[in-house]
Amino acid sequence: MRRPNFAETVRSKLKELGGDGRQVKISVLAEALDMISNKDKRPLYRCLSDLRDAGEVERVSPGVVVYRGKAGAGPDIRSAMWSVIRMRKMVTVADLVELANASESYAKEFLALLVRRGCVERIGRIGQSPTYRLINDLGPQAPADTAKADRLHHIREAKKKAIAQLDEAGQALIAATHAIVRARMAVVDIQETEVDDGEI
Amino acid sequence: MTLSIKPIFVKTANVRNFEAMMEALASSAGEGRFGLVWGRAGRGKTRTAHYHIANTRGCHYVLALKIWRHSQSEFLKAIARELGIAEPPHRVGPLFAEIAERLVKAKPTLFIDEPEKLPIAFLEIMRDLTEATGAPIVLIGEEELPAMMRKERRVWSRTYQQIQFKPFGVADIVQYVTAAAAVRFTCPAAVEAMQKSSEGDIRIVRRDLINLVRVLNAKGTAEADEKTVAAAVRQALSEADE
Repeated sequence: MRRPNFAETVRSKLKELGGDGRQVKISVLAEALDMISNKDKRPLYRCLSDLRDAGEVERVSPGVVVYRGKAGAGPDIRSAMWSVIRMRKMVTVADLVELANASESYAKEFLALLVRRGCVERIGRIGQSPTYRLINDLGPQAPADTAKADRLHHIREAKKKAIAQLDEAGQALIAATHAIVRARMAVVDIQETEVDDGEI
Repeated sequence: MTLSIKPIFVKTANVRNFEAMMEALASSAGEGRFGLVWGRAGRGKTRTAHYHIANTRGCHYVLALKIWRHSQSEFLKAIARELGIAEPPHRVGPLFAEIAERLVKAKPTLFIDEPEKLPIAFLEIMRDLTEATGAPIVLIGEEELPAMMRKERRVWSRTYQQIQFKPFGVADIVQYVTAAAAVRFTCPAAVEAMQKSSEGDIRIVRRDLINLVRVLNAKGTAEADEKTVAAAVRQALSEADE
């Protein structure tokens, strides 16, 4: 199998870190690509500059970029749905299916996510379909689906807690061992003096 | 078999003309220019623009509001927010400069819907924006919009492309009804009846189709003749009158 070239590696890392239009710090990107020294990072800067020229990457502030995807390709379905919601202000699932080429299940899932985020609210029905109204416009970038990140965060938190409990148990065990050793030593140190039993 | 209406975007003659116009507008990249899409309400202009914008990179949409007619700043702020400028400057000069900077960098296509609701001086602001940045601006409006643009010589001379959205024709109705609901017309008179009733208005075609599907489902067929279409249209009209 062909090995990906450097630009493809950078592109794939950018998609991983900021695939939903999230901002990516170049320092984080460099770290993810195991580029530590300034010399290591030079090819990355050159590659990002090329991607910027091609319109694939946008620099939003010094040291921060957003991955926009390959020019020529259409926006992803999530961005298309978000765009429809922003333009129409009130939508049904059918609107998203028709105008953003989304499947019915994906449109429902996306609207449910937006309801949870407080971006849209369900206001009633047009015929048989529920209608949603935009109440918090977050700008042109579609809100990222952080469900996966949230799950990872919970796992990490649980791990941290378990490790802390194990550490605590370990400390308690060490303290108990010390106490046992001290007790044993105390027992050993007991002088075996003869006791006068009163017999002559 | 039960018929149902699928949410489907049908590429009618108007949509195909719109796409050709957008391609032609893109081919003159680098200079400030306008595109003009006009026609009576109910021809599908806005829906077509929404479909194009949602499925094309680098497109932004602003619906003009009558309340902006006294405030160019509100109009510019709406454009700024659409371009993702989180905190638009309050003063008009810096606001214009920031929008221009964004447009120069990304050269997106800016769609402004119903600009005829704004005073004619706003067209000059749009001209300044497109000329300063090279980003194309597409104006979408009703019949009075071309006349309004013609009045502003400098705007009209930069209008490189224009299309008029024509009434939904017989071929469009056949295409839409077949794709969305799999209904077959048994004779040309049936589709002509639907076209006559709708006067080429896409919303009325949709309304009539809902009733037609109801009538056909009651009959248990997917084939619509002139009588069935007439009954469906009558039913739709009586519901609309209620």
